[in-house]
Amino acid sequence: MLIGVLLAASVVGSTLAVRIPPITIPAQSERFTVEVDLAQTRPKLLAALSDRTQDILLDLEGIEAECPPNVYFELYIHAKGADRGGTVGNLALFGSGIRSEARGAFSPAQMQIVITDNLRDALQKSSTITIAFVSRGAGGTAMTARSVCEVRIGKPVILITSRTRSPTAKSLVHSRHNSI
Amino acid sequence: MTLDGYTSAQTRRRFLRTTVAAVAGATLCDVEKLLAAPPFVRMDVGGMTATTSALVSYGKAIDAMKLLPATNPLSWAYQAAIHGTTMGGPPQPAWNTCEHGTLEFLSWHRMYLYWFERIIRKQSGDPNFALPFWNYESAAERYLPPPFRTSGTGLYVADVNRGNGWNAGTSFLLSTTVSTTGCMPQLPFNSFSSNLEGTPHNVVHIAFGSTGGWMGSISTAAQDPIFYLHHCNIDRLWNAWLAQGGGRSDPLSDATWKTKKFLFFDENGKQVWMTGCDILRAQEQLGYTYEGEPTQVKQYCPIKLRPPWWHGIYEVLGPWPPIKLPPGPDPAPFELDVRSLRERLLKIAAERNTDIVIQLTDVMAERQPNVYWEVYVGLPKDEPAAAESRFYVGNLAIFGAGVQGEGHGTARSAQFELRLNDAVRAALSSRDQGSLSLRFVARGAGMKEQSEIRNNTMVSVGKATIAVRRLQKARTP
Repeated sequence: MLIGVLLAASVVGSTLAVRIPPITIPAQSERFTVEVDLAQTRPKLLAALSDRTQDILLDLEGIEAECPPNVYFELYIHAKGADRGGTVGNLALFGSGIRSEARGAFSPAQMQIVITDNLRDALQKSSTITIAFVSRGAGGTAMTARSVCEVRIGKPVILITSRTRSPTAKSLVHSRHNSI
Repeated sequence: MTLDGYTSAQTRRRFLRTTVAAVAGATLCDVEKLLAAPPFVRMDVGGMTATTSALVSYGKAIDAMKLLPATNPLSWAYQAAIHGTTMGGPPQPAWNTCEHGTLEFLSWHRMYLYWFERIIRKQSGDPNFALPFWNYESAAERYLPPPFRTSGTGLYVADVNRGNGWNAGTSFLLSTTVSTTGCMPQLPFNSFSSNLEGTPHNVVHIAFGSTGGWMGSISTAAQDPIFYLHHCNIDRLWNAWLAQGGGRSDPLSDATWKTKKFLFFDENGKQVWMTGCDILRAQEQLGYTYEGEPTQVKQYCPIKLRPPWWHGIYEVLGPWPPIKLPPGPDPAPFELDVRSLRERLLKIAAERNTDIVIQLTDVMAERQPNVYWEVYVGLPKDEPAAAESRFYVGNLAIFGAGVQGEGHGTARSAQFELRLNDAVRAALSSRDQGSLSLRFVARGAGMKEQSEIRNNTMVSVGKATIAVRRLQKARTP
């Protein structure tokens, strides 16, 4: 079963809010940004954002690269012109979604990131948001942070869905190191 | 006492237990209990040095395995190739079989680690060996553990294959690389698994790949000894996720996940097959725990208690009033007048091979509910709804089937059947009890205040009936 299939099962009952044109992150890019105009769907999104039983997801389907990019991408959601705030998650290809590593028939990767809080902040400032993909590798001086291959996202969408996460998660850091 | 190089009685019990488990999978847990022995404990590598016995044994085993030809299933090259390889020549059994981007990502890697660990135990001659885990979420463990940077040991990989800066201690994992804040709050298994696979799993691999290391590609990753510590941590996070409760569960309703067989090799080089049902309970079935982890959650694949040639004959006793679960607070209990059925129900509840059941069919939600419901039958008004209660009969949990999707084609309704024997006995024990109440109590994440939990959608039950289910032998198997 491909990740696309298993993720599709997890969004049954979700509502498509916004279709975003396909995204191509060029090779060698350190930071790549796309703008998304949400003016038309802003009321619908704001209504969903005010409902504590719902989440907004950035659903990236059809992710593929010709070779291992050798970087992952931190994703940021901001209001246009206001690029402050933390990352919403990572786009990281390993195994699935990489054509040169496909065994048998190739299948693109898919991922979903909860963007509820970041989108709420962004929509308070502007109806146009930016999605930034920032290349990351290892920390330290040896870091390259430039994608070897371009990464294509065939079908990016924003979904409204029932919340299926708990409000907090327990710390997983081993107790012996909690004080560090 | 000597058994295949293992000398202590304790180790012999461990050996027997894990061998029995290997041969028979999950079905012999009673035998495992008889052979109960302390579990192997996978320890945090952060507390280890180059002289810690686990790492000494690990390095020793790697050295021994590298001396074996790549066609030998016990060799380092073969074991790594099970995960992935670009080696030429005829493909060998189990090569390139790792699961990524699938529902079996976690279960396959748990199996892989389990057999790999047994091989290391044998190859090192250390009967107490357990793989360490790399607890990189701790700020103190973002660099490659120092014992892996020392040349001349089996744990060392040269820069050209490990990537720049790791051995020198100048490369490290960023905080966003090791974060579990995306995966751990997820409640559905598939959401958790796919999130965990992305971060920290994929991202840690890529952090090495960004510097040119083997770890960056599925075809080479398992050649680096740190790979197995990384995956022990992922395996540990699976346990930690389950231990949070709140409805978290392995995908026990997915037949493929439970029964798909994967091939590995035991410590003697013999082929072994495993399924998801064989690895649900790490300590009980596989004999290991993790340092500092909460009590492991025990999950079980449903066991067919009766031979398959038994089947149920149903006799419908009557319909329950129409049931709707509207958005908002829990609805009032649905009452069923059982004055004319009371004596018969009590008699049936005491019969062998006979059950009183409630059948809920044509169950449909307008959208994916954000809650599940605990179902109680006969719960007195003054008694709190608790799953430990005699009146608790099971859960109504709608996911996939039973959800009126938007743009997903024709939706299939869901159906449920819950056994009421104990609840009926308890409820009708009072002579003046003339009705049975059916109560639905919405539940969500375990950490949420119960008073905050509100169903978000209309759920209708097309037909609810109370029936008798008699198990009878079929004429032919």
